[in-house]
Amino acid sequence: MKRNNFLTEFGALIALILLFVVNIVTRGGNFLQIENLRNMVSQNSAVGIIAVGMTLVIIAGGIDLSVGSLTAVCGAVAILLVNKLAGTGMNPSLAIMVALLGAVGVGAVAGLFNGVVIAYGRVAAFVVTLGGLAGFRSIALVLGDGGEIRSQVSALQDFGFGGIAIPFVKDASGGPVLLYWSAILFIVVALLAGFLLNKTRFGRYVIAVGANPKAAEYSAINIQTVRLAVYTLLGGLVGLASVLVGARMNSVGTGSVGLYYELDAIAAVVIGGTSLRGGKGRIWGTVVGVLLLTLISNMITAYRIDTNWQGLVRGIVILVAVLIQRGKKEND
Amino acid sequence: MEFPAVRALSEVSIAFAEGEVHGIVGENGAGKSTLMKILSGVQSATSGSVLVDGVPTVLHGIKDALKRGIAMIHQELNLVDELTVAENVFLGREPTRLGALDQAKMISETEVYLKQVNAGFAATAKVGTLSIAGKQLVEIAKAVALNASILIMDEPTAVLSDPESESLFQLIATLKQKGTTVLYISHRLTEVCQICDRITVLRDGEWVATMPAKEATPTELAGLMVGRSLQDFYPEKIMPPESKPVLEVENVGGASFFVRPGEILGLAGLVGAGRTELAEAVFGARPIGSGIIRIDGVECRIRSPKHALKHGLAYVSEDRKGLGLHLSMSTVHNLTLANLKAYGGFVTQQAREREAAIAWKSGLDIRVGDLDAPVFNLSGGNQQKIALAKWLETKPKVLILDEPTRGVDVGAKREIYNIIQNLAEKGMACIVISSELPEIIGLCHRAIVMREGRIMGELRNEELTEKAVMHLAAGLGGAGLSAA
Amino acid sequence: MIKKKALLYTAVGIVGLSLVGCKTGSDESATKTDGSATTGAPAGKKFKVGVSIPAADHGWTAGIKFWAEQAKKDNPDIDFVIQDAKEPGEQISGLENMQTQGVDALVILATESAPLTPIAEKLHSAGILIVNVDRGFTKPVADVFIEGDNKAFGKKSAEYMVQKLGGKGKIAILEGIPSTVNTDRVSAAAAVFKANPGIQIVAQASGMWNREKADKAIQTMLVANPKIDAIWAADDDMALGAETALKAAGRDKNIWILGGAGMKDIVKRVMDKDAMYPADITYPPSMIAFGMQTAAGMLRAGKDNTKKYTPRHVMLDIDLITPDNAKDFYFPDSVY
Repeated sequence: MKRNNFLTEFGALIALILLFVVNIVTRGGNFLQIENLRNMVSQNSAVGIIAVGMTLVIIAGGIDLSVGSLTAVCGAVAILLVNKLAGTGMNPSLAIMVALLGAVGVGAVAGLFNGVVIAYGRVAAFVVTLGGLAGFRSIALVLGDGGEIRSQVSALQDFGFGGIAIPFVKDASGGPVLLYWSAILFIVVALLAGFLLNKTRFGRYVIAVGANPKAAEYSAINIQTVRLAVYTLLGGLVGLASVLVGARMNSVGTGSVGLYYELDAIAAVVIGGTSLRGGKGRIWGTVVGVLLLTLISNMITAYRIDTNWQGLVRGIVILVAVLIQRGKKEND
Repeated sequence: MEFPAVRALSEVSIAFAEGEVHGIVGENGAGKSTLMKILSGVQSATSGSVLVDGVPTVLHGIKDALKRGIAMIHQELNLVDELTVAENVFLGREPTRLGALDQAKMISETEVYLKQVNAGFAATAKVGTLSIAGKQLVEIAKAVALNASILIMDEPTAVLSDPESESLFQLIATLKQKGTTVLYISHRLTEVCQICDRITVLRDGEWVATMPAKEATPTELAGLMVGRSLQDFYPEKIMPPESKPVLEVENVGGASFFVRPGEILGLAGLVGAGRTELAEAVFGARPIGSGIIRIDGVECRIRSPKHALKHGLAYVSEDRKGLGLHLSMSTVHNLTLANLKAYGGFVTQQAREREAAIAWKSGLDIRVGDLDAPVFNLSGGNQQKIALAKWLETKPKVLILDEPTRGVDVGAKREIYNIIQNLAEKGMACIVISSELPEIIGLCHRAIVMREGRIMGELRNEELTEKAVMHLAAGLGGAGLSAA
Repeated sequence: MIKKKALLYTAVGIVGLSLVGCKTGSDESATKTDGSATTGAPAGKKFKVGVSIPAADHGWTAGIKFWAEQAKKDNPDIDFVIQDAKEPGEQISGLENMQTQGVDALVILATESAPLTPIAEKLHSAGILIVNVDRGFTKPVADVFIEGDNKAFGKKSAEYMVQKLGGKGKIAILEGIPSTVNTDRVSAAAAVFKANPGIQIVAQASGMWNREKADKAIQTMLVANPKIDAIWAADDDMALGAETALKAAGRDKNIWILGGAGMKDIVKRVMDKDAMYPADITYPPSMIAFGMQTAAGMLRAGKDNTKKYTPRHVMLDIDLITPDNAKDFYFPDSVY
């Protein structure tokens, strides 16, 4: 019983550590290179930020399938804004800041839209956001004429490549190793969301609404407001993530950016031990889930696993991670 | 399966005779449910054995138990609302003809079983449309259909009104005559004494006594259950001083009533009389139509539980598991959920929350080990105290308690009555909805009786008798004042 | 209830507004409206030609869309109906609809070969002229089949890489999504590398025809392999992703990339003698326009006559783009 509980609580973390050890043993110093570790924290930071927001939505008893397509819309808006503003002679850094706010704003409004239809329109979240999955992608394609929107502001990619030097380490040529802004933002967002979920009244309401919406309503909680808030928050985070992707790529391919982000994000949340039925979950688990998924991609590349097998490897790892944590039969 | 913290049951040996109605009583946590789960094959015992007709038998699950003629009717009924009565009765063993479902056979056979249990509905009715009593009859019909020789009933009358219970008792008598053994679990000691042949008392997982029902009295049983004697079940009534009403309800769904500070007002009636609906409307969980609600003489617009809370109303739901509590959340989090604003602004001060929880724990004698564990595993009585504390947290002026002692064991029942009386003494207006007549009579200062959504009459002081309440509830006109 | 609805519509309004606002902020103008509907078509019946292509999910397919629009504009006397599809099922129903609209010819770039073959066969036997572009049907049901030579793509690019490295060096390979196109390109290239023992493939992974995915794969490869001389990518989208990873790791000075498909940005940089892109390989999306032009020409001159001398299979040669000839392959107006 005890052991089972332990696995339920820390299964994903154990899986991550196990895979980590396997990599250390088989790949040695190569794997432990600070650049490799840095890359793994950074590579999926966009999906990670979205997954953190998704965790709150799922705990509140919802789901959002539209995040991938929304990433493309927000990214497109951000790059169009940067180009436009820099074109008017605005300081590039300022232009990027404004574009970032613009993307977050557009994302939040789109999230609010999802939330309003779900909370007041009383349509199932799955259906509403399935509509968003199709609709937002279409809007992105319209914005980009079906192709790619390129940034004409080089400062944008500088931001994408920028970061804070990790202390005490140097790369092969003696230069600093940067922890990218995207990774830093991922960490910050995860910490804030963890605080929000565990320490604030709002977080408690999110759990209560997800665990039993009717009982939450009878506990004098305005459940509609809580639902609106989590979708809006997720939308804003999608906006933030989209800028990070756009900055790194210096462009947004309106047809390709954000494809399958919703699935990766939901997979990370589930691996992390958050119940898809709502009412129960943890942010740190989602972070572990994101890292686990990244580590798997990293391994697939490093071990040169044949492309055709990749999906199966990922699928098995996801399934195993979830099975480990299922533990005893769940309450209620 | 060994249970996590405690042994649920140890060294219990009971023999049940054929054609016997055997009552099993005990406080929640005494091990009644565990015993029944073992007998019905839901769980297996870690040691000891079950003998059926003298043969040691290992029961592998519910289906296996059914095959051996043991059927259990759970507190939470296991029926599929979307299916018809016949489909439910034959669920899992549907008769087929030429590979297709034989509906005609299912329906005709079901009609026979329904007749045996005196059900007033058709085999083709959707189970979802039946009352709880009706559903229970379907469960019993199902057991009859399976030719069960041992029928286990867990709190069958908890959800039934008195006349409904009465017809259940008759049915049990009929089953008994046919040689069926009925194991009857209930908190209602009076009825246990009335309908059983023998009664077994369990306490803390151990056997205490088995006696012929003729020799038992409810008071004696209650004493055995809690290990001490219960003098008077209800606290002494202390009449409140005459004062202006704190809550006035006018024409909500056609009903009007008021309650004074310090008063315990009973809301009596049969199941389905519209009492819960009325309470929920007052609490803002249902639309109130053209009704008017006044608090301290001032008209209030209450559109949601949130508004109700703001105006000092609190409602402890009859549906503890569905509406009253968050079962997957901890004791602390449940206790403060409705009053979280009092524990800091944006950020919640968790240390203060915990202090409050500890205070409630000792104040209401809530028996809970880990304040951070989900309330799911707690007994009904403790859950009810948490639900009560959750609303007392909000410091309400008016407390509406809907079936406050349903599924609660005798000891906790008494404690809850005392808590209610204490609150009233301190000036809180309490409205108690109850289907247990003794509770209305024993606890309330005044009672109004509802039937089909309307208030049939009001009873106070010496007018407040079981007979008078039943008269009004059954629509026979009453002894009290008419409040139409 | 009324109030709730109003709130809902307000939210829709805000989404609409903000997006429109951004659109006008864009300086990329939309494709010009074509005037074919009103300009004088020859007297009598106007030929109707359906163009069925995969939806734009990456740069190359966006290029297909662009060149299809271009050919439509250049042939105002023909009524071109361009329709895109995300997957075979959608494409099949689109084709069925086109038949009911009475098209004279169909230009088809299949999302997948096998599922589209039966419908193409059916349409062909219904007397519709079928021009198949890029992805061939599994049976010879097209009147004309125009394809790029993916094996030549792999072979020529690998040969260039071997030559440029002087027959010796460490390379990384970026594959696309598993498919015939990918297999043809990658295995033809691998055959060339195998024949040159001086070339060592130190890493190989899929970039899924996608920039982000290519970026991530290369990041991992770079850490694992302190020395890489060049990266061979199965298309230009992934080449750009590889470049991102190189830049971020500060290793863009000593590694060069060979992609393919003639994306205009890459062609421009070849033209400008950018050291990262010494060359590129054509696999022009403009082949869709050629297919449409072929259909238009055959219809104008009478399809039954022209079938007699129109080749049934046209294999477009693959060109190596170098700084010397890059200007011939540079189309600044193209989206790709």
